[in-house]
Amino acid sequence: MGKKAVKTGRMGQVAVGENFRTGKKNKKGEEESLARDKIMAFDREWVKIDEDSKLAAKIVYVILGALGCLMMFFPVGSSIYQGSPIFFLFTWMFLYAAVVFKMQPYIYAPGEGKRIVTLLAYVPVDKKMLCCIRREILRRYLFKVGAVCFVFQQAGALLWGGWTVVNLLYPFGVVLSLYLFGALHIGSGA
Amino acid sequence: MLLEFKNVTGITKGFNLTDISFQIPAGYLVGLAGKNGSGKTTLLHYIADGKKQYTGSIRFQGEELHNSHTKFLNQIAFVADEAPFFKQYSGRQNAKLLAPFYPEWDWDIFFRASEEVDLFSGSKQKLDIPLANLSRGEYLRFQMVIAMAHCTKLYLLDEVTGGMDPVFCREFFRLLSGILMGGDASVLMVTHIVEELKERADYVGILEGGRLKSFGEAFDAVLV
Repeated sequence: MGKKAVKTGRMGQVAVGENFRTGKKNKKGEEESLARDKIMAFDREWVKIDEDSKLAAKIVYVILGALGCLMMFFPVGSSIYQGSPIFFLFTWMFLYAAVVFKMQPYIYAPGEGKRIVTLLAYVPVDKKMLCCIRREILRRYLFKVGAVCFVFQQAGALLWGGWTVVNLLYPFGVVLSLYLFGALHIGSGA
Repeated sequence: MLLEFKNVTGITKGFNLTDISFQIPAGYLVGLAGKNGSGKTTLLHYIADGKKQYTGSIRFQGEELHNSHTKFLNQIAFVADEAPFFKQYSGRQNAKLLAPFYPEWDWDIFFRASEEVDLFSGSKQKLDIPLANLSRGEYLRFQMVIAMAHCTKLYLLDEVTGGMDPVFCREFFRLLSGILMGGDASVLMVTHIVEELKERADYVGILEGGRLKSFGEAFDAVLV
């Protein structure tokens, strides 16, 4: 039957579910691919609806994310952190709020107070795949935010002249915690 | 058989359904009647919900329902007051959101059915009004349109005619007759109004205290 192939990033990468020897798709891979296509078609329609409120959310998460990233410019170990954990907290809160505003349109239906996955309860959609795609959106966003935070933290530490390995690990820790909280928020679709 | 219940027993929120067995052939209107709290809606949820909350077997088109529940939802529609839709958005927007999930979605059928159930009337097309602003009858009709548009084989109707006027009921059953005339779809309708099923249904089951007290042709079942 062959192994289920995954995207490798190498030249001639194969699609999910495709056997890289034979080029044939296994049934489960085909089903997953189809489920993914359906959800992405839904998302394309979803973003078109109520564009104003989604734009407002975008402006908010960009501002909050920018504030959180700017605060990362103050390196761990600098005087601003000493004796006060509040700075850590504010940095994390700005970034977490950015994550919430980024993901909110993909998790909740506006005005309903209900999760999209709940409203699609009787629709033939793979709920787990829906949540998986939301986690992918979260990862892509956090990758970008994490990259900026990392660069700012290293730059700040080098400018301050007190770089330690903690400055290397701190952005990863923050991004990892944001991902865990975000993933919990998204749920599993079970 | 389109749908088959075999020794279905479940416990949901402290409520028991015990040893439910019946069959629904394609092309028929089957009614389930019983008092409030007899388990009618619970039984529908056993079919519609993704989680298996019962022991026994529910087979749809010969296959175990919960082995491929997502796939079977292509052909099952749940019509009820509490059926979830994006109520802040219009019928048209809801249809655009849901259409990608149904491989057999047909826009021609959607618009024809909308016209048939009178969702195009008035100064503003009711398809463009948020679902939250539709009346109960219009909301239920909209759900039927969505169900017809994705070529549903099994309609699950939960107390749809309860509290509605005779004109609505007459029009609603006319719509169901049109659906059943095709011969490949069936309707499972639950209600506490037994007399309605006596006139309209082909088969009727009576639920009492979580048990199926009787199931048979409409005339026979009602007399028990």
